[in-house]
Amino acid sequence: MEFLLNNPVILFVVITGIGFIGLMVKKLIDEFQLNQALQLKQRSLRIVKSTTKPFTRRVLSLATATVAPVVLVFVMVMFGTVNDPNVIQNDYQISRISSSEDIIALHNQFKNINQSFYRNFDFEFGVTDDLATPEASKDEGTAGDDKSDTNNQVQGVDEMDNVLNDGKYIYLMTYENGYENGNYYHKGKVQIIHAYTKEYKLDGLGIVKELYFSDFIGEESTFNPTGLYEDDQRLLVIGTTNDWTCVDYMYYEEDKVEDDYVPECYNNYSNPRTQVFVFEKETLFDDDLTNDTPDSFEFSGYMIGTRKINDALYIVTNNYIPFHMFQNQIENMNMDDFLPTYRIGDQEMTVDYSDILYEEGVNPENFTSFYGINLSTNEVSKEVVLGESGYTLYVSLDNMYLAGTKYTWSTARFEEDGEVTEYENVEPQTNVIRMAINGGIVSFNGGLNVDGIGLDQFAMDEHEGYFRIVTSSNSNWFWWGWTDPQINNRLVIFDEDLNEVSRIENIGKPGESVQSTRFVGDYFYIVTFLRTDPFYIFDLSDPENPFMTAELEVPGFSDYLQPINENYMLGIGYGDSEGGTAGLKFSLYDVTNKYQTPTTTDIIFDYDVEGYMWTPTTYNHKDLLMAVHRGFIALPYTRNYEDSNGNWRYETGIQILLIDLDSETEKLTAGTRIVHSDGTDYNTYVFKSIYIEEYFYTISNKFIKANTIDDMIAIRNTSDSVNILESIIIGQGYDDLEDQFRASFVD
Amino acid sequence: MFKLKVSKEEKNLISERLKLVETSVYDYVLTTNKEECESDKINIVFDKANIDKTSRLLDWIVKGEEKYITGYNEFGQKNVECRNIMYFILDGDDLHAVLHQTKIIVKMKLYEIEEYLQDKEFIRVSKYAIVNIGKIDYIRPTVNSKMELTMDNGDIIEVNRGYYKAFKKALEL
Repeated sequence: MEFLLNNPVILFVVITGIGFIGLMVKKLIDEFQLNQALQLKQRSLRIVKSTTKPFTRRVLSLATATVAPVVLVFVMVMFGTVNDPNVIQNDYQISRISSSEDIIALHNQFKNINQSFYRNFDFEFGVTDDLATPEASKDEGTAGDDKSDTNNQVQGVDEMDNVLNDGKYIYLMTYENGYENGNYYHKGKVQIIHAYTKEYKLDGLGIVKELYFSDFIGEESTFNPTGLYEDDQRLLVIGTTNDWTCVDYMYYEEDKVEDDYVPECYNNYSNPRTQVFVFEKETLFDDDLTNDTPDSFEFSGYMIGTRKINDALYIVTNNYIPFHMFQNQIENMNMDDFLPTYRIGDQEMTVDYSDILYEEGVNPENFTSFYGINLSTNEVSKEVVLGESGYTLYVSLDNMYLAGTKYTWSTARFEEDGEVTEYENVEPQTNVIRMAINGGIVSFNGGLNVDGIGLDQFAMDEHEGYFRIVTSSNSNWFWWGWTDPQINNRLVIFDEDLNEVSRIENIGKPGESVQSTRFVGDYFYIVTFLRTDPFYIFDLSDPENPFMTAELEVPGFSDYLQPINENYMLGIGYGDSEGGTAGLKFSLYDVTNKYQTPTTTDIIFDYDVEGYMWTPTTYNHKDLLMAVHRGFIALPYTRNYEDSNGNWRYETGIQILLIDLDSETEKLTAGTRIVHSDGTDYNTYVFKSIYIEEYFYTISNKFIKANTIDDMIAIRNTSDSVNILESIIIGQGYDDLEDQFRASFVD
Repeated sequence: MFKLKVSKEEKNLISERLKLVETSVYDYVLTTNKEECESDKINIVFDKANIDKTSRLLDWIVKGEEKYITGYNEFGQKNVECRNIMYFILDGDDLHAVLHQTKIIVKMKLYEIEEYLQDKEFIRVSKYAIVNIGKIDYIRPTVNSKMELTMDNGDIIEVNRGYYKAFKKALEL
């Protein structure tokens, strides 16, 4: 009924249709009565005739006239000519660009409305999806070779990570910094560490190789690795690089001569490029890798995200078009200089104008490029979309979805005491571009706009052809800690053609913002927060009629939801024993019965006991190691606490949680901690932990420490330490640099 | 007009053979049993062996004496039994009497025909036409409170709004 009221045209058609059918029926009854009377009259006149035959003919023709339009509409709906009234048609319109002038003309259209302070927001801060920060592992093992893998969102779709292992080697993306002749340097590198193997156990831990990229791309390179992929054949290193700018630096001396000008170069972070190196594992351990240069690819623009599915690597980059540099001489701008480019080995390529897609009504500020690389053939496939840049990437096995924010501008008037103020009003929408992916080929597969702003990659999901997304309106997410009482969190479901089939509005209590979401098959879990932590379960098995099945309200909130299996969900967030949020909290939700209020088992690290404690897993799911079948979960933590002498201490390491789903009373308990920091030094960064067979490795920028899983899970408290088999130093903290700095001058 | 008084088992068969339509108000009682005669009615007592003769008698009662219409066409003057005429229609100043396949021009005014045939089952349906109820094949009401009459020969005659009620009355509706 609400649908009809919202769609007056459809309502009119329905009413007209019903009216028409009513009229037809009335006419038919009248006609029948008249002809009956005629027949009776004629019979009383002793004229024997039958009006049954003409009447039957008449009924048939009238019924055909009534039914035919209904049948016709049905047939047209079936064949897609007329749309099912329950489905809201996608209004996404895409066109192709043909020249530089087209882009400049589009820019000029938007120029006036762009002259606002919002314009330069451009979401550069949003480009964080896969960047430098670490990642984690899941508990899927192979027979006889049980090891941890990256904790990916979608099974089969690899996400870039900073620590990987193949059961024998640990690949670690790290950096090296120091001083050379008094000059500070910082360069990225990949360390390959030999882990314990079946044959070679104790004392087997050690660095076997360090890959520096200056070997392949020159000393002046600013290549900064941001993540790794690994499979049976290859190791992929992905990173970004920028241009250096060299200026002549002048010493201030009175009798200056030309020699006093010293050229100095610095990284000005312009012309960003995304680079990919593909090392074959066969030759990775050759002494001189320079003789065996890895395959390399380069893509212009900032990296937005990457994924790998079997032999196919997908990369999304963003090229900002610097219209601001041309100000009033926009007609002098040649767009050729700013088109996305890419390089396969030594072969440079530029995107053609005809390759560029443009979504009608979107500010043409960026080129977003979607690349697919077939790693077996080194072939690159691409699609380029002109518009505002997206920043959240969700990839299923068949499609990549890039979500960004699209602003619709309007001018609002405000009148007070006769004074009229006009101000720009902005209504954010989430703009999603879908690319079909298959074996390294990307092809545009539609797009959509939906009100509100999405949270993260977990707010999107594809299941049995349906795309589901969660967005919030009035969430004001860019102003820290402030939410609007008018906030509206919604779940919207789209069919394969990206037409909206259903939506649920106003999820959560008034004023509550979305903290975390997770789609698991037919079910959807969401945590909202204002004062308490409502955890909701929705049944989406009928995509046209989703509904809420259960709700749980407990203090605190979960910032990240990790499904363990169909029946359990782990929430990581904040909460304390007094109903506040001053502590780190882990909640194991038992969702075996989706239609009942779930029960939880909590672990709380209260501020009073632990000090301020936090974990990067709340915003980086890849830092989480899920080894449920081995009885534990591991994650990096950091805490600042006051010791008995009143001094503030810093501690960072890996926290173990013991998990036993079969246990009645101790499903989730706190285990030991493996500390990597030392005293008050703030120079340790814990990447994550992994396991291979019976050994557990914790990895930071300074150490790799190894212990046995059996030893570790035997400890059922946080204060006892596990026996460390071996601890090797793999890097240095910042404090060590001070000595180096002095030493560099002695030389 | 008629009431049939026979045994229940035979009633359907006999009324069919007699082409008889019973009405609630009646002047004639038809029966096979003279005991059933009603004193204030005209009673026809018949034998089942004479059903055909009885039927002809009923025809005569109902249809009465045949009236003839005189008109002419290209073959000369014609005398036509009025029951064979589908309808009368004015075409300019000429009044046509339309038969199944032919028509004749009648030297009478439409109102004179209406008056002449008033005891026959003819009815005025518009300023221009009078139709024979017995020759109507089908009635179709149209959306603008009119009716279209399909005659036995396929011609279509319109019942105008002003004659609609009288027409329905003639059909006892």
